[in-house]
Amino acid sequence: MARVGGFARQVQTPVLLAALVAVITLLAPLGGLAMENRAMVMLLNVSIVVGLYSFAGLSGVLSFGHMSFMSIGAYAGALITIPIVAKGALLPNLPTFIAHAEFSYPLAFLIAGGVAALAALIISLPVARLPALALSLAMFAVLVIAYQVESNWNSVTRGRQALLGVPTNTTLGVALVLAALTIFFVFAYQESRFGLRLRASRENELAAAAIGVNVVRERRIALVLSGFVIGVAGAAYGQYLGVFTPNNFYLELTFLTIAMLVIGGSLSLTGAVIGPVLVAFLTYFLQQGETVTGPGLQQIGLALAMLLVLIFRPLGLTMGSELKLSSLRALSFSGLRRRGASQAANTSSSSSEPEPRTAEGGPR
Amino acid sequence: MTALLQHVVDAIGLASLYALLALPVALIYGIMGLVNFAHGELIMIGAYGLFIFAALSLPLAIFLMIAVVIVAALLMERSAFRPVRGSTPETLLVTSFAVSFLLQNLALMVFGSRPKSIETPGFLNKAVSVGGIQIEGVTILSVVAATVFIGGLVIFMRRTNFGMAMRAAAEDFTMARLVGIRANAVISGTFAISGAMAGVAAFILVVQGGSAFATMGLAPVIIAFVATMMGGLGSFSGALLGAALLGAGTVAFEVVLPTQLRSSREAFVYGGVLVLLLIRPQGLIPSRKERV
Amino acid sequence: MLRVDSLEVRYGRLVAVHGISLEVGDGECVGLIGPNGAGKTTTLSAIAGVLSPASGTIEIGGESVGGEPPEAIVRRGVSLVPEGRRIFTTLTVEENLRIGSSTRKDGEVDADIDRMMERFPVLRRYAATHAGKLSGGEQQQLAIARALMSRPRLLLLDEPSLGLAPLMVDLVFELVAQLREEGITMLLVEQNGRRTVDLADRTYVLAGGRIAMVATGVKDLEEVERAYFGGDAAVGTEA
Repeated sequence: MARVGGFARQVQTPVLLAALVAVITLLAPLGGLAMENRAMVMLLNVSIVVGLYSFAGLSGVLSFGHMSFMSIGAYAGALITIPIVAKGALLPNLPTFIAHAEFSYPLAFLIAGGVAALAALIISLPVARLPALALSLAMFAVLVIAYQVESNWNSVTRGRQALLGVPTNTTLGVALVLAALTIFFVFAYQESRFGLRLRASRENELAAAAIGVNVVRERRIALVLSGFVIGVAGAAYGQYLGVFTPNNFYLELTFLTIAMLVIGGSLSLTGAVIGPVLVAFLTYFLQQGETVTGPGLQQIGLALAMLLVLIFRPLGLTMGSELKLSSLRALSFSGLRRRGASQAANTSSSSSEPEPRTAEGGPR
Repeated sequence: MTALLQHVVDAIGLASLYALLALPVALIYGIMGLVNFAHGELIMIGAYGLFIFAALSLPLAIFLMIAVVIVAALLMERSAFRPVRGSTPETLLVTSFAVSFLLQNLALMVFGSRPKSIETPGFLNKAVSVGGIQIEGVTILSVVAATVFIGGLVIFMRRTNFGMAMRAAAEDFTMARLVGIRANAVISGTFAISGAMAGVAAFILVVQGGSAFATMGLAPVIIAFVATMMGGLGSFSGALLGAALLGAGTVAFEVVLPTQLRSSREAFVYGGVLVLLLIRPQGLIPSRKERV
Repeated sequence: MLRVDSLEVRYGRLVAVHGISLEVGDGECVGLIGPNGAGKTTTLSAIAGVLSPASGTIEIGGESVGGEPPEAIVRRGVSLVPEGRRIFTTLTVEENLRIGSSTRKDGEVDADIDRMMERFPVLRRYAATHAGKLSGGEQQQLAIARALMSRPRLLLLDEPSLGLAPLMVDLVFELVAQLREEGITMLLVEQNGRRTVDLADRTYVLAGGRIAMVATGVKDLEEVERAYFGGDAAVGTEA
């Protein structure tokens, strides 16, 4: 009984996070097609950033190269779902085993994730052994390698030309399910003994090694696992776009996803979910501003937001804490208090919220 | 024989340019633990500087451009890196990544996405023939610039008090402050040097590429990263060795690869680097220094 | 010269020094002893500007300096010989001395370097050698010489005898005694309690981040040993 209770207390974080994105998603269609589209992008970003978090957040080693796994997933997923006939016309020189493959989308996503995971495994052979900072930089080289190969491998990717006719299987519902599954999957990994060992190495690499954690092995596992998650997200992203080039998975996306993770806070799953959600709203407002300033405000604003977070709150907005019911309660009470509901302040005097200043901080 | 010598000359030219890119990155990492992503944007600023000063005589334009880049480097340090000084290398790195993205997009906003073409004197792209070997003006320029900077830096570091302070700060920053070395002065000085080198690299890259564009800093900064990483982060001589190997490797792949794969040259070079790191994860000249 | 009042220093949430007060008068040699983790090095680091005090004041020559960076403190005439010596191993011995004079603008630096080499002949012998090649005792001499190069009004010594061979320990204490004769004001942090109490005008005994007592003779120390360290414990014994 106690164990079940402990489990429920633990699992509330992914449940709450999934519920949060679900609520936003369900509200979005009220704002019309444009809002629905934004919700879709937000959901896909949640999947990608949570995937990035499963490596960078849990290991404490930043990666500039995970979007290469995303592109691999997108291309792999597209190549095995485009109808065989269309593929023959589009890519006449495709190797036969790909040319004759056609899968339905849920299975295709998994296969795409598998291909990306395989790529991650190969890359992890040299990369996982590097010291942390060198690993970050090496992953940047990986990004460049993937980009160049995809940009020039005309017979498979059409090179710099767009890959067309990708079935658009990623509906809002699919994206929501994927985001939720990703949250639960990564949460399970985070709480598993593998995740625990990886997090131990994040707090103190030497100490973790001293208690028998094989840091290289744990990082390798995380690389492969995050490669899988991001590969699946990449396949879904490709089947949302319908048309893409290697540029869709290069620097801009690398920056955006890292910015989301940094803003949300890379030390908790909550940060990895909140980041994309907040950035979705921020982007909306910045895009409104772009009607005045012209294009570019979005990127500049996001970069400034990221710098401000790094300077004033370097651990990100969540600072490593996870979303829990208790924190929600504290939040809603302080919200009520701000509106001056004195009875709420009274009932919450026993709550764990530490700030006593609200007593005189309320209006009047 | 002539063909081989030609490749050697090409490799030396490329390695010199790469050394000009890698050295300032290694220098700043050595002093403050920052791998500066935005070094590429200093180069970009230099290229746009040449575009703006195009109407002036070339020496004056280059002089002003380098001055602008140095100022930009100092401003960058003051506004973005000083507030996060002392953070983990990861935080510093990601901060410079944000600065890099910010500057790229500012450039896009100001100058647009189409490259601005810049005229440079024709002789720099002309080749002189020495015993059957073609040597381009810009190759000579790269070699001279790299030699002057590396040599100058070595003398500066060995012979001047400021250089001594830089060496001390690179070894133990807190202790250097305890003997009275001003942290801000050393770091600003290092950024000024990196700015000057970025300016020179910008000129060489503009001669080669003929234009300035917002994302032009990316390719050079990756080269700088890979070279310093190969050398073992934090080692100056390692960074130079990395640059040399990278230059040689790039020329070698260009020679060996069939035509249709040449456009993926960098992919092969970096792939080669990853294989190399498989053998030597700590880099070629591992630095034993632990950063705080 | 130095007045520390109710100094508190924290590492994050951990309080390492709980409001200690101490004083070093001009020309005095004051000891600061205590077991590992008592807060000795933390106190010195706060005085030298490496750590910022959470509360309390530090006055040097009557002026409050709390929160100033190390490079400012050393300009006020306070020089630290840090724990573990921390000489610049990639610099030559002579460069280590020269860098010790970073705060000075007068023209007597070269003469002072010469004087230091006179005083520590081993430094002259290895003047052009990388300092990393010196032995522990030689490095300690270099560290003290480097600190003296700034012509300090107050010298902070953090466990100068730590990790040295017995003969070298004697040499270091002899050196401190000499410096004292020369009238250099000193705050000496040591684990070697007896020798410190013997040498110093006054010795503060630190335990658990607080000043337990002030000792002026070995008798006081024995009392402390009984009270705080359980009889014949570490304070008086040599390593």
